[in-house]
Amino acid sequence: MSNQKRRTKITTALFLLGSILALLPLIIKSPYQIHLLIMTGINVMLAISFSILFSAGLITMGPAGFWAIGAYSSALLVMKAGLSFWLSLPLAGISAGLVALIVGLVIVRNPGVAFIVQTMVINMIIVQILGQLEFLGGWAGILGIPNPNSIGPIRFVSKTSYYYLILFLLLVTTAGIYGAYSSRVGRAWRAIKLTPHLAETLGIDLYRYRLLAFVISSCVAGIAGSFYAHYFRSLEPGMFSVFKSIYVQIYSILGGLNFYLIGPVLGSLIMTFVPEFLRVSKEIEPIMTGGILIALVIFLPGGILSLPERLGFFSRPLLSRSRQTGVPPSEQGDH
Amino acid sequence: MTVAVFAQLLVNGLAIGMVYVMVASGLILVLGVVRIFNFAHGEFYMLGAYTTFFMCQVFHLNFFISLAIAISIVALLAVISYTFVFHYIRSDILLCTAASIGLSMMILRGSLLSFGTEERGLPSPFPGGIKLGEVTLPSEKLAVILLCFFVMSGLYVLLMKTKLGKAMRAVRLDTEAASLQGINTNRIYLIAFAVGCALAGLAGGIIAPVYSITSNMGHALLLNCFMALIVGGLESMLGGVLGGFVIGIILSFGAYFLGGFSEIILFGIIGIILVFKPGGLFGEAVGHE
Amino acid sequence: MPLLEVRNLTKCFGGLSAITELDLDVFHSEILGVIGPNGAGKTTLFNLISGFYPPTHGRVIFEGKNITGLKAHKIAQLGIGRSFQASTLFLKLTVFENVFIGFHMNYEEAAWKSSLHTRSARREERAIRQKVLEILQFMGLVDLKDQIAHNLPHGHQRILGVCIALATHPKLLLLDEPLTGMHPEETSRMLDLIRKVQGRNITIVLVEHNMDAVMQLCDRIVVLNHGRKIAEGLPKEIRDNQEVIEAYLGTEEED
Repeated sequence: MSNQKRRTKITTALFLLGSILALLPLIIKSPYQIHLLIMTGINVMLAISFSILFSAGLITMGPAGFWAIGAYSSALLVMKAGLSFWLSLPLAGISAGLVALIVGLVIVRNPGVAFIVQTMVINMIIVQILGQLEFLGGWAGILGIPNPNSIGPIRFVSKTSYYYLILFLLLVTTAGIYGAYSSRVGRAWRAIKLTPHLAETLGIDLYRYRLLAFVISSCVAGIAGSFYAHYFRSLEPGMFSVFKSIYVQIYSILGGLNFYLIGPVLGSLIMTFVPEFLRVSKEIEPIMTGGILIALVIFLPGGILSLPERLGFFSRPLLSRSRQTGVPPSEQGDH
Repeated sequence: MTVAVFAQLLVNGLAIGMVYVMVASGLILVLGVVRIFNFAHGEFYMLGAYTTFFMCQVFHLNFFISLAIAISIVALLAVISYTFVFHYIRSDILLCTAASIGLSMMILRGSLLSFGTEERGLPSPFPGGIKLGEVTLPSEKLAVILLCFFVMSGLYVLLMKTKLGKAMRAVRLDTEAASLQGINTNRIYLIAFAVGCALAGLAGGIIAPVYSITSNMGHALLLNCFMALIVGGLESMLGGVLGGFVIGIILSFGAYFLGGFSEIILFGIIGIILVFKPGGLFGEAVGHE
Repeated sequence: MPLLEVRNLTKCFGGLSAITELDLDVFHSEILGVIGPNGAGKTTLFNLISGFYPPTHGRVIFEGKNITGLKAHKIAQLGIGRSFQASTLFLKLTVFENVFIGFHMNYEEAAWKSSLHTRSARREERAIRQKVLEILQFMGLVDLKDQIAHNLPHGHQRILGVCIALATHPKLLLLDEPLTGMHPEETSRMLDLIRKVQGRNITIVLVEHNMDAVMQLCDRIVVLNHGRKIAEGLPKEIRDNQEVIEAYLGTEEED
């Protein structure tokens, strides 16, 4: 299949997908299911946050910490400083990014296990600080966070509007991150991940690029946090523990670690919806979910997206090489 | 602060510290030899506590026999977990983390369903106190300290003096070299994992009469254990021991003086340590290129 | 003025001195060979020049500028390229992709433009694609451009390493044992390629064990032993140098 044809196919597929996603709330009537979709959306953003760092060769156990910073910043900016949600959303991302910058200046020097552990500690510290400070609500957290201010006729009362908002945020994030991945920046990250020594001899400043990945990753988590705060309307520090961070990892792992954008989407869908579809009582469900998780990790270590290749469905891999590696194709023609 | 209060805090701190030491040592053993972060580690600790409780209360067995049964059950579960799960994915740290979370979910829920949500208490086999001058030290906490010390000494002997221990240390240093020396690395991984989890289970059993037993006890402990690991350094057993003590003492004295802030201080100290020594107090800077 | 000057270079690891008080000049457009028995410090020398660690004492001067202690990526940006002993490549990527990433330093457009895929950014990517193909053509790998690097035979992997280094447009190219593990046809091919590279006005410093190759290829040779320079000069001078012969014989006897 020539590149041109493939491109048309992909564009059509994306268009179809977009239409389905846009029309979904009209088909699904149950607010609970819309809620699940929204949760999936939030988890996708968090998983993307993890994947950005992973694509640069860093494993983080702390995305929930920056998610918390975004959530709390946004809640405080709206409730205490009287800002509009539409301002606090980007500001939440920025504040998470700033904290990441400060922290990252120090910890990004030590990639590898040290980094993993340090991000874990940072997550724990953030949770502790949020829990101890009374003006942040302590361990009981913040309640009664207002919903986003209406824009025009759109009022954020029903879940549907939130759904479209998270969809929009995801769209923007995915487009932006995709742009980064397929650019010089993404190629540098990949180089750092694969063979850091070689990357250095190519003039790539490991420290700078890792720091960049850390900051961008945290901004994404921060923005997700802001949305979360104004959707859930209440926050407590316990939601943002290291265990949540590990769940975020799981979303990426299940989808497929080598798929930096689609992987998080699929993985989040699986982890959100599989427990729903398991027709067992609420009580036994974690046992089944845990079991399925273990099974998936053993039998599909490459994630769900490695399945087509494994089963020999396609002779070409699922994503064209240029989409996976960020390097344009070697043949003349389009991406 | 009077001598009595100080002594109480000290004993308390040492007791907590010893428990952390044991659990953290188990964690380090697994991390160092098998090289996986076991997030279900806390659940093994919890199972040890519950099993001991049940053996004592329901079957009316002697405390020490209950402990022995608890260790066996926990070790068995660890062996099963390793053989059927971690054995296949051992080389990938992310996959193991994910799998251990899955395991943790299963064990935690299983425990909740089997044992219920109420807190359990086990009457202490060491009631009363020992008088030293004007100070009365609670026997049960002294017992904890003694028992843990006993176990840790046993662990030391195992690691330093026995063939098995030497094999484990060899694998920890260099897996390839160890297998070239004829060591069956797969068996060592299995044994190290079982011993590590058993340590946690034993700690749970030892502490069972002193503090209340809930299904969540493993979770909260685990995070603090990672703290101990981080303070001491991921590579060194001695570091883990020291880390455990530091945690215990700070928590004990800290709670008395500062209330909730003790944990922030703890994390702050750890954060600072990590800035200067990313590998912990005793580790080398891990994570070279 | 020499392209590269090494003055009084010393590197100690713990108590051991890997390189001691080394003085070296590299002149424009030459091929300089660095030889010596195993452990003589040759790779350490490369690591010091290319910035992987700083020297304990001494200086490295490139094009008149003091580059001592600069980080590896900075030194790469100044125009010193390098290939490695082992096949240090992006093994999971194709030949084409490997070399493409090599162009990282040589973009005109800003990185953010690249992210937004502006027209000029895309034009530049097409231009780079052309240049990648040119390099592959020049080095004879163009037919293998879509092969995964991991699957290439060893000889081709080494050539790919040189291709990647070429993509950085180096003024000085450090080749670390490019001929190791190659059979005779691969070797003579690599020698031709190295000469071709020199023809592009790139100065080359070569560490090698293959004596014949070194004698054929190099304009000048420097001999190291136990971290010190024991001889320097034209190939025929080195071949007959008594100290050099003893240094090599010495290690042979130890076997």
